[in-house]
Amino acid sequence: MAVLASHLSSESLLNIESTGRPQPGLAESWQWSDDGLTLVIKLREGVRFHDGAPLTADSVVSALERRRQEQRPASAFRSVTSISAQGDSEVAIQLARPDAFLLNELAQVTVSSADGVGTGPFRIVSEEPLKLERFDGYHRGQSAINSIDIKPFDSQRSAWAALLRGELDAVQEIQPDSVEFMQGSTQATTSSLVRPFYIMLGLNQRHDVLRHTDVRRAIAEAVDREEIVRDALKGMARVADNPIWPDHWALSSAARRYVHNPEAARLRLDAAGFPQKRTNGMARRFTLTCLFWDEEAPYERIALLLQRQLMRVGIDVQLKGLPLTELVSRAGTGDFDMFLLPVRGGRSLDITYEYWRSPEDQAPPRMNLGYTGVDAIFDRLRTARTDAEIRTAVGDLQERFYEDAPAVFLAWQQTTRAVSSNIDVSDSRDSDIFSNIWRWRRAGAGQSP
Amino acid sequence: MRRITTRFALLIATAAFLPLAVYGLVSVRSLRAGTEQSVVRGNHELAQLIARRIGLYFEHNARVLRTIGAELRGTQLESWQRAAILRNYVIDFPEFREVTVFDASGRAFASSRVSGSRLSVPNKALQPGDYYVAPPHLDADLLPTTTIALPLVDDGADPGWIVAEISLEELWRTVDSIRVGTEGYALLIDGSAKVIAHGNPDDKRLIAAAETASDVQQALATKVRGATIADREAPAWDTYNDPRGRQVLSVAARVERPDWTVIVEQPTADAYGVALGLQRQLLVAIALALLGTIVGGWLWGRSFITRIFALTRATRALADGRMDERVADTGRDEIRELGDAFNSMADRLVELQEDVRKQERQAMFGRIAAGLVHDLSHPIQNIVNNAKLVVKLHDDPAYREEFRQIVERESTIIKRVLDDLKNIARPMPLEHFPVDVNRTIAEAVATMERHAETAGLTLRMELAPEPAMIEGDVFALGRVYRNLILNAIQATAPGGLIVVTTEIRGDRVQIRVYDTGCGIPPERLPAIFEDFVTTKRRGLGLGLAISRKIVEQLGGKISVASEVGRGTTFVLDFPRTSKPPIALVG
Repeated sequence: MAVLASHLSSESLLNIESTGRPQPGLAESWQWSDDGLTLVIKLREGVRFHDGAPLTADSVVSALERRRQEQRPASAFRSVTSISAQGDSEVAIQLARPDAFLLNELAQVTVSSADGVGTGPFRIVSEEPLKLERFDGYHRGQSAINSIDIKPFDSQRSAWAALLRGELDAVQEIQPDSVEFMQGSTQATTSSLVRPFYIMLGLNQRHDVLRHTDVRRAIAEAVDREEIVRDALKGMARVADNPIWPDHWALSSAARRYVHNPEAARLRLDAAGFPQKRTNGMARRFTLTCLFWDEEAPYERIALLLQRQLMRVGIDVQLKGLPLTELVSRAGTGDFDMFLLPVRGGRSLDITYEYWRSPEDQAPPRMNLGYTGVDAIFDRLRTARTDAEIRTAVGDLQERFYEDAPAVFLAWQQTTRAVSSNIDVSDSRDSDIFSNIWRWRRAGAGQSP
Repeated sequence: MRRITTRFALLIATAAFLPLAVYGLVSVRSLRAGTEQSVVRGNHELAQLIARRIGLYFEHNARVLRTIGAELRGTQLESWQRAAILRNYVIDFPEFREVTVFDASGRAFASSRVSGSRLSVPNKALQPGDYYVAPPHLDADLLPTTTIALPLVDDGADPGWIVAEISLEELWRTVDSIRVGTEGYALLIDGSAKVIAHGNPDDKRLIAAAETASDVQQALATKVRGATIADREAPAWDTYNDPRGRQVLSVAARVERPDWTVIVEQPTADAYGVALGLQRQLLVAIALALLGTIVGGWLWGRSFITRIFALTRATRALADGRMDERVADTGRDEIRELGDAFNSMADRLVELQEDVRKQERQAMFGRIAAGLVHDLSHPIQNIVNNAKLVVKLHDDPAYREEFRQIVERESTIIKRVLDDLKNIARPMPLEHFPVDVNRTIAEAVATMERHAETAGLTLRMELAPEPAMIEGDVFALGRVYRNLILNAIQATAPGGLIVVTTEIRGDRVQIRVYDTGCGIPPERLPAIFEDFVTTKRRGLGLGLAISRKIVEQLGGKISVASEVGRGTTFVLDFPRTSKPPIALVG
C-alpha cells in the first residue's frame, strides 16, 4: 500500500524502463564528466510540489542528501563526495570513484520537499485510511481521477468480490492460481506482467556437500524448471537462468543455461564422490533440508516438486515450511542448507549487485550463501563507463553464475493486475497498467473513480 | 371499371391468402413447439452429460483415494515413505491440494502437507465404499475447493479415514467451457443452492460473493432432486427473465453424488434463434408468395380486363358515330368471340345505316319533289291558264295589265320557292344594321293584312311604346315575319285571330306571333324548325327552317309554344342594341 501510495504521490529524477536503461523523470537530461566523477543533472521545468513550491535544484539537493545520510551498504551514494546546486535547474554530484550504479540509485530516490510532499499526480490527504486526491498542478497533465482510496484486504477473494460488486476499481496483485477465474469475468479486465522478482533455490556453500561446485551444478541440472512453471505456477512465470532481469539490454543470449538433465546430474554426483546408497529402505546420496515459504500456496507445491525431482537423482530433501520473516532471517544468517524464496531482482543491475555482491564493510548480508565468485565482475561492472564494458561484464556474470551455480534460479514471477471494466486504461503505454494510473479514466466518461 | 381489376386481384389474393395463412400458422406453431421441445431435450441431455461427468470425477477421485488408502494401510512403511507416497499423489494429481490419512481416533498419521494437515475427519457415518463430499468453498486464492472423505475398509487393521482437499478447478473449467448456442452457458449449484461455478462471464461475481442461485434455479434444483427415478429422464425446465431482462430457458439435471445440480441456461432469443429465423423466412416466403399472387393476378386480370375495356371503347365509339371502330382479334377465348360478334354487329350496323340513309334520301327527294310540285304547280298553272286567256283577251288592256300582274306575282312565288331552296343549300350573308323592330313589324303586318282579310282572319299588332332596336337585316327579318304570319294565317280557321307583338325586356327584344289556329301536336314540335318539315299537307316546309337560320345568324333565338286546338305562339328573342338607326339618305 505504502509503495503504491508513494508511486502515485512522488517521482524520481529518473525511471528505469523495461530494458533496464534509465529514462528522464524529474530530470530532463544528465551529463557525465569525462573522468566519470561528476554528474550534472538538468531538472525539468514547470514542476511543482503538492504545496505549490517549485522544484528547484536546492530541493533536489536536500532530497538526495537525505538519502545519502541513510548510508545503505551497497548504495552508490557511498561513492558520492558532494551534491550541490548549480543555479535553479541543475544539480552536480561529485564522486570519489566512478560508479555506474548511481543513475539506477537515483531512480530509486523519490524527490520530496522538506515537508515531505512529492510532485506526483496525486497527493496523500489521509494516512489512515490511505486516501489520495488529484494534484491539479501535476506537470504531465491533470488526471481524470479525482481521488484514490487504497484499501487492504484480508484475502484475494474478498478483494475480488469487492471488485465484482463494484466497490473497487482495481486490485493490484492477483495470484497465478486466481487469474483464470478473473479472466473469465466481464466485470474486470486483467493484465499480466513479469515482476522483477525471481524464485530461487539458494544453496549454502558453507555446507559440507553444497560447497562442491559439481553438487550445485548437478542440482541445477536435476531441477526441471519447466515443470515447476507449468505445474506449480500455472504457467504464470518465466523460466529464470540467472538473477539478471531477463529483458535487460546488456544480457547475452549466447550465454550457457541449464537444461533439465537428471542423467547428467547423476553422473556428475557420482564423479564428485557422492554415490547413491540405500539407507532405511531409501536409495540416496545425501540429505539436505530445504526451507520454504509456507504462507503462499505455490511454494509448498514447488518444494514438493523440487523434492521429487532431486530424489530422482538420489538427493533426499527434507522440507520445512516457515513464515517469510523467519525464512528471510535464516537466509541472512546462513542457517540453512537450501531455501526456496522469492528474491527481488530489479530491472537494473544495481539490485543484482546488492543481492549477489558479497557484503562490504561488515554490512549484514541479504543472502548469506557464502558466495564470492562474482565480486570481481560486479566491481568491474560498477566502474564500467561504456555500454561495451557493461555488456562484457554482464556476459561474464552470466557465465560465472552458470559455472558456479550458487543457486538454482527457477522462475521470474508473473503477476496480474485486475481493473474494473468501468475503467479505461487503454492509453497506458507501459506494460504495467498500474504505472499510469493518472491516465485512467471512467469508460465512456471523464468522471473520477 | 377499374375496380373490377382490383376485385379480381383481391379475389385471387384471398383465394391464395387463406390457404397460405393457414399453412403458415400451422407451420409456425409446429416449428415453435418442435423447436422448444428439441432445445429443451438437447439442453437437458447436455446438463445430464455434465452431471455425469461431475459424478464420474468424484467417483474417480474416490477410487484414487481408496487406492492410496490401500497402499498405505497394512504395510510397514516408514512415516517418510508414507508422506512421500502422499506427496507424489498430490504432485501427480493436481486436483489434490492435500491428502491425509487419519486413524480411527481421528489422528493424522500421514499427510502430504509438509507443515501438518489442515484437514479433519467429517462427522458423518458412512458405509465402507461410500464417500462424503463437503460443501465447496473458495479458498484464499479464489479456487473452488472441497473435501472428500472415505472411511477405510476395516480389514483387521485400524479403521480410519482418508481425507483429501480437492481443487475443483477442473470442474470449474468444465462448466466454464460449456457453450450452448452462442450465448448459452452452464452453472453448478451445490446442495445449499450456492453457486459454485458459472459459465456466464457476467455472473462470475455470484461465486466470489458466495451468493445463492435465483429462485427459479433453486426451484428447478429442488424439482430435479425430488424427482423419482422414473421421472428423472423428463427434463425439468422453466423460462424466466434474468436480471438483464433477457428471457432465459433454464434446464436442470441432478448430479447423483454429491447433491449438486447442473443448470444449463440459454437466452430464448438464442435458443430459438434458428427457429425464429426459419419462422421469419417462412413468413417472408408466404408474404412473397402472396405478393406474387396479387401481382400475377393483377397482371393477368389486367390483360383480361384490357380486352373488355377495348370492347367498351369500341362500343362507345360506335355510339359516337365512329362506325369504322373495330376491336383487335386477340386470344382464343370467349372474349375473342365477343369481339368478333361486336365487329360483325358494327359491320351490319354500317350496312343498315347506309340503307337508312338511302331510304331517307329517297324520302327526302320525294318530299322535295312533292313540295316543288305543290309550290310551283299552282303559280305555273295560274300563268298557263291566264296565258290561254291572254290569247283571247290580248286586246283588253285591263286584262293585259292583270295578266302582267298575275305573271309577276306567280313568278315572285316561284322565285321565292327557288330562293328558299338556294338558301337552304347556301345561306345568304346577312347585314347587321340597327333596326327598329316596331317599324319592320308594322311593314310586314301591312303587307300581310290583305292575306288575313282574304282568309277571314283578324290580324292585329301590339307594339312596344318605344323603338325596339336590334342589329339585323331588314329584308331577312321581313321574310321571317312574313313566314310566321303566313303560317299563322294558313293554320287558323276563318274568324280566328292573329296578334303580332313587340316587347322590350331589359336588354332583350322579344317578338311574338300568336294565333288561335289548330296548334301543333307536341310530338312534332321538336322538328318543326328542321329542313323540309312542315305541318301542312303539302309544301317544302323550308319556311321555319330558313326562319331559324336567319334568327340565329342575327344572334337571336326562336322558340314555339303550341296547344292543339287552341293556337300557337312563336317567340323571337334578340339582343337589344343602343345604336341609333342608320339614316337613309336618298
